[in-house]
Amino acid sequence: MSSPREHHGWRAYAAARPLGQTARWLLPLITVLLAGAIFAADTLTDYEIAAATFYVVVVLLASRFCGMRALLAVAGACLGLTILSYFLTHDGNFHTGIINTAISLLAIGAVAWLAVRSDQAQGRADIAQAQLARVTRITTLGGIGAAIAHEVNQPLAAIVANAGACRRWMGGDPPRLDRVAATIDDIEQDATRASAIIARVRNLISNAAPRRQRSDINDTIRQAMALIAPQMRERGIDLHLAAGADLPALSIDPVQIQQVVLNLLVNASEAIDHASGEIGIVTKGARGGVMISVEDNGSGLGAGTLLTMFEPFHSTKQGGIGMGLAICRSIVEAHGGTITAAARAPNGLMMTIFLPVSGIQP
Amino acid sequence: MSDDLVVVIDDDVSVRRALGNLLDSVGLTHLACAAPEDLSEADLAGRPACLVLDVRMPGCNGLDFHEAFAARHPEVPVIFITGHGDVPMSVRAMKAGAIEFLTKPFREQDLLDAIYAGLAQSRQRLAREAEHDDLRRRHASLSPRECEVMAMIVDEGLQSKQIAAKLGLSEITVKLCRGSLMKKLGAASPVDLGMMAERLKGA
Repeated sequence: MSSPREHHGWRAYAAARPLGQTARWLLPLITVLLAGAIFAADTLTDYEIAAATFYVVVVLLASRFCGMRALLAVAGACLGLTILSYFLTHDGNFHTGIINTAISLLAIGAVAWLAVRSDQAQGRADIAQAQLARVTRITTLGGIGAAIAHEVNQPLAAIVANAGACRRWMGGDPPRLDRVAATIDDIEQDATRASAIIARVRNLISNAAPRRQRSDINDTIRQAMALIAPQMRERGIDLHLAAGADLPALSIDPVQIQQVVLNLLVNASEAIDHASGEIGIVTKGARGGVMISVEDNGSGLGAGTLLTMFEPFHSTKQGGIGMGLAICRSIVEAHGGTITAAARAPNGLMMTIFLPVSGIQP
Repeated sequence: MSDDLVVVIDDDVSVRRALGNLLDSVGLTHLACAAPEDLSEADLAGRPACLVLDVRMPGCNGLDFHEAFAARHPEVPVIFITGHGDVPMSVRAMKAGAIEFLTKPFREQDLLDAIYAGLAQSRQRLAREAEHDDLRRRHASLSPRECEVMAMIVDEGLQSKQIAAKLGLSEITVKLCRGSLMKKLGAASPVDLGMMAERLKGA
């Protein structure tokens, strides 16, 4: 019954997320019991009582946790039960019974059709939102692209210089094979470093469906920090992480959480216009999850902006489209978490994210 | 040649190591620094040197450092290397006197060529300076009278006879004085003397 939905995207989480143990069993159980009760009522009462119309409730409940095929199967089962009740019922006006059964069948069919349509629409909306998230990710990366290019070119330059050194040592008389061997190790390390940077970027721009996995939140944050660190270094901003110890593993989509962290870091760095910029990330355990806070000592935001900053198309940046924080919020909420902003004394902003362990809203 | 020094300033440890390897492989003495502050003035004193400088470094702009450095050490040519160079940046660097602007990853031969050119330039400059110092020392050894005579020869283009009349001396005395100052300065002809005077003025 609880097969994952066919489409990927935001609400895919709703099905793929590990529902709490109670929620996982409770809803299907209630649905089955309700279907049984309606069947009993429909069969035991006479034809005039159209108890079968209540099967629409069963279909609606099933749409909460079923994929499209399973939903059609449930609707089919309800139609079958209605017809079966018709034959099992002995009392009442036969003609009224036919009309009532027909009405019930039509109602069940109509509700099932609407449920499937709404499911498909939701699926399309999810895909659109996932694509929007990807576009904003790419936009974010575009903003720090120069710094990333710089970061990839460092190991490449080292590799080229090392290769040149090796060629000369090997051609020398006598060949300095000891130096060559040591330098080849350097080359290998630099190549690994370059490919790690590229893998991180590719990870963020890939079109892969959102996928949750048990992750260490500190590792996830470090990956995002590594991408933006060169830009921070260059601007003289001190970026540091106070990683909480013994944090519970979270069931998250690391790419999307990285996107959120990266977005907050880009915003924080853009708010800093002085030489002694500082951005601190703190992770710590909280009731039922993990708290992540990102603090900067930048220019901060006005009280009015604090209220509207998560709204789509709200931007204080020149040329900004104002989707960054809206996407951040939808990602965090899809993870069952919350994101809030607060002014920080004496200046700057503090963004706080709560991510629950269970992945559903507390 | 053995006295040549290549200074590499780059905050990236693997780039520093790799450039160190490259310079080792061609037998060039080098000094690698993570930041401009790590470079001491004593390292550069009086030897042919060339600076390989990364434009982007934490807490310090390579271009700003270069401008200050070039004022202190005009004899040390600077080669810029950068991970992500743009046109305005390279224009600014070249205007400030950098001899080369290389974008990482560069061909190592390009860097070596620039370094050899830089060292040659530095050697030339040092030789010129040494010659100049020598000339100044010799000029300082002239007596006040000799200085006076020299000024009259190069500035006013006067003959010995005219100088003698002006100073109220005998022509012989002026000729002796003139011979002595030419000898002290190592000038072979009045034209040579004129060029030396120009060089002394230029300093």
